[in-house]
Amino acid sequence: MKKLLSLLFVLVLIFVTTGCSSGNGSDGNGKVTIRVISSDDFADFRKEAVKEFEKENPNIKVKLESVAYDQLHDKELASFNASGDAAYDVVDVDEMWTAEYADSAFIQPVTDKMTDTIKKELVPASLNITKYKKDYYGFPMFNDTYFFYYNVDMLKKAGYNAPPSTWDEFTEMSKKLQNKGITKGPASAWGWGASEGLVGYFGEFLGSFGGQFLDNNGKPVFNSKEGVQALQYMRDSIRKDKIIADASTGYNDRQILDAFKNGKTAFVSGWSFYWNELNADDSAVKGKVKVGLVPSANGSEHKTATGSMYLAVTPQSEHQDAAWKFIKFLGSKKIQKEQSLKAGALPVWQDLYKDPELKKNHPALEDMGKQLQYTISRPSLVGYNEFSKDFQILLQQVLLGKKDPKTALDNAVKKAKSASKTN
Amino acid sequence: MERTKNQQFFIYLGVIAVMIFTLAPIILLIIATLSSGQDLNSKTLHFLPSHWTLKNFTDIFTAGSNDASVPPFMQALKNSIIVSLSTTVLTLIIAILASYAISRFRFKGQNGLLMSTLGFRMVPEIALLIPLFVIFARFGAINNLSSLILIYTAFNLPFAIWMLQGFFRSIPKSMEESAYLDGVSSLGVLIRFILPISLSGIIATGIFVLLASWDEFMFASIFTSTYDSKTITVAISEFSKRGMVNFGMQITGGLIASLPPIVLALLFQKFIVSGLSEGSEKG
Amino acid sequence: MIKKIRPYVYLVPAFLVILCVTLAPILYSIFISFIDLTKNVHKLDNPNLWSFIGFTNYINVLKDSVFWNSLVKTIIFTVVTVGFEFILGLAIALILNEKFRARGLVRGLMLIPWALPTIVNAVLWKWFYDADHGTITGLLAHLGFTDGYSNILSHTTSALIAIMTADIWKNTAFVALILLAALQSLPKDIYEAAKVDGAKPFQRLFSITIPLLAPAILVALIIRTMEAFKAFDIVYIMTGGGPGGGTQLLSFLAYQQSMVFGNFSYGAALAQIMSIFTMIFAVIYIRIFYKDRG
Repeated sequence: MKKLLSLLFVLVLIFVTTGCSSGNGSDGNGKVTIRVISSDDFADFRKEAVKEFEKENPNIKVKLESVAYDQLHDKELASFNASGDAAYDVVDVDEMWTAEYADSAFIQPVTDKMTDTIKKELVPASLNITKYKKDYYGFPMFNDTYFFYYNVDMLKKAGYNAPPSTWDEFTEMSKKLQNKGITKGPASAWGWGASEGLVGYFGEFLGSFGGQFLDNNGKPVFNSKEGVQALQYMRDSIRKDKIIADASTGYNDRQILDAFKNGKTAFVSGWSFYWNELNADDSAVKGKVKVGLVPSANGSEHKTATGSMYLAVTPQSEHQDAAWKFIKFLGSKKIQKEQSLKAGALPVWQDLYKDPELKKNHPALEDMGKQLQYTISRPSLVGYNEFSKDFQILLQQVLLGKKDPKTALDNAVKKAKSASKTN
Repeated sequence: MERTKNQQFFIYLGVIAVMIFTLAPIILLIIATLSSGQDLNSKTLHFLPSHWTLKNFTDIFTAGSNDASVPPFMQALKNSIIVSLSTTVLTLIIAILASYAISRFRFKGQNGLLMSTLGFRMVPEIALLIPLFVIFARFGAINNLSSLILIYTAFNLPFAIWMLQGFFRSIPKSMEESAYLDGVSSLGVLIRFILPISLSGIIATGIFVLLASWDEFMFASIFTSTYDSKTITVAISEFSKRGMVNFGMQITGGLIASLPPIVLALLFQKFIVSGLSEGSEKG
Repeated sequence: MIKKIRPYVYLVPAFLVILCVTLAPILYSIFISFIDLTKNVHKLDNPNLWSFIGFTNYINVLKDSVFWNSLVKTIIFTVVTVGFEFILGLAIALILNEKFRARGLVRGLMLIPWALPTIVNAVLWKWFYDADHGTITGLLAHLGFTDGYSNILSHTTSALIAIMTADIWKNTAFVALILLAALQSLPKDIYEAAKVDGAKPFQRLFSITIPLLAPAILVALIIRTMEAFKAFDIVYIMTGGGPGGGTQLLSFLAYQQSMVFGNFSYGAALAQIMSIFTMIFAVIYIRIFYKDRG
């Protein structure tokens, strides 16, 4: 039966070839072409870097395709299941997709190429996102986490010279800001709409309350005491203490930036690109913003959630060496420094955070570098996207007061367990 | 046949209601494209912007030239024009030939063929997305405008054949019969007699095909990832970065993308309406 | 001999295109729905990795509460949008069929929503419903229907209503277009006879106009039902299936399962189930139509 069907399928394919195939030529002049698909995050910069790379490596031609981040995963998934010209040599991977891609061998392990010096000199958070089980799968391209921005002026008016160090202080300061009328409404708004960002924000609270997503054996444990406390705190801030805008459950990371940028809120937690936006000419808070460590509770580290990406080589690639050469080039200290200077990205090398030129160019670099010591990553599960969809719904139900934190997290851990089943 | 004043009043009331229903969103769209980002992002209800600006349009037309993370809009516009015009021409040629056979000749399996043609239209496109991607990928035909043209042609064929055979059937056969006696070939009959008579129907069908291929998004979004091949619907959907939507660009791009189909629909209005009324009689 | 072959010669191009680009992928898709292609296989075209599992994928779909939720939402979406589009479209067609000044212009303007690309329509309505600066959100708040600005697209019911209004606005124009075309080709003398008989306008509508319009109504309803049942773009742009699966129509679920979660077999089985539904619709419509006629 199986043979017959395969035969039938092959026949159809042959028919299709002879009937519809339009000839496609490949250039055979000894030059290697690698195809790269990447998110449009730093598209401008990468385009320039490609030119530089091609100048240094005249035998390698790079075809860079930039797509919107929202469509990146779907396009990559389609391409993994294809071959021929539709297959990419290099793909851009978001940290949560590692397990899915690695488990299905969509991307090639590069453990042997990651020397001890590289591993030692990279920011640990950057290195970790490329790791699945015992192997490394790519080279990090930039560093990003949810940073904690605060409005210095507003805090001064309320009588504070430093940002909150604990979540209790955060509550207290928010209340004071509100009572004194320094902020017209709640002192902060968060991007807790039902999207991937919500899982990240939960991670920020989970980490700073001392919890973790997975234990050392990779078992989901975020329904721990700390997890429940963290989620309870998130809910109370909206529902009971009213220090967080009620509409947060519908906001994305752009809307909360706008609120902070227009001087409506005193705190905001978000990506590194906020910095440039907040100090742009149309910003009401230009020059009044600083980056502090995320508050914490239970005396634990000031952990925040990461959201970085890396480049990896696919097994279909016929030019694995050229592909890796290109990735290494983009990850090199020289290009990482340029990327920081020109595009405002945070570099992946530890010593670049002490680079005087970079520090001058980016006043918050040092503060951000400190935050990068304390990070937590969303759990990279084989079925992450499916898990995340369900988890977002559960988290929202808690934030809207429809479910209690413990039940929701127990439920989510069950989902995470079934999503972590490998093949 | 004279209408009373009352009836007259209600008819005009109805016409005004129809116009408000139809035009209000369009007018808001046009106003929005002429508003600044601040007006678009303000939280107060207002229908007119605080000041008018053409910035959205200048941004759109220069998109991609100074910021590589924004798809070059003009390129996408060009791609869409190529794809939809080629699809329309290809679909019409193939459908005219097929409809001619179905409406003018008797052969085995005629009815079954027409019915199964319709059946193809009922298959959800999502069912074809992955198989087509795998097949086209195998032949390296991704990021390729011709691939989109071929796919759109296949999707539009059933509808076009179904419409056109209706028009052809409504043409009396008497003229052709005398032409046959004069020794004209069947292809000659098609070109010299049938095509000129059914021109309005062909134009109507063509407009439908053109609009459908201009409109397509799902396949274009998976099949194209280079700027050389992205169509306008994909470009509009990409005027957003992670969690950030640039409404000004999206809406302005949307307005520009709407102009060609709207102009076509207005220009060929008569053909569409008369074509449809002939077609639906015999279809 | 040549005469016998001739019709087939004219059919060859259409046949080839449909075979390659529609029939072959349909067979392929049916095929995928019977094998195990969940996550672990990254070569869809590698027969060595195929294992046949019979109807397991179909059973998985039918046992999945997500599927039933999507089916219910899709049926609601289809019935409500097609219903409104039919009623509004008929009303518009009847009005525009009367004589009034600037009729040609009004008829032309009516086509605009139909000509507007679906993606643009979705972007436009998403902006109308935006939580912070949407026109409709603002209107609802000012008129006191909502308590301040509310996030319409982040509540299950209101999000579904939002995507339905967007769809209705655009496609009413299509239904009106088809019905107006049909109205214009109706013989005038029947009306005159009915007037002489003293039939009231509403009686004329139900006893004469609608029966005469039946073929056009059928065409409009079939096309619209098929399209609504397969709606994808509007969900993809406006809500992404959210909140909490509230607007997760079947096409979007099939896309999500295949392209986001990597469950290709589930997606394929779901697509086949959708095809069966559309076939059933078609048969029902055609039955009703022929019953009315004969």
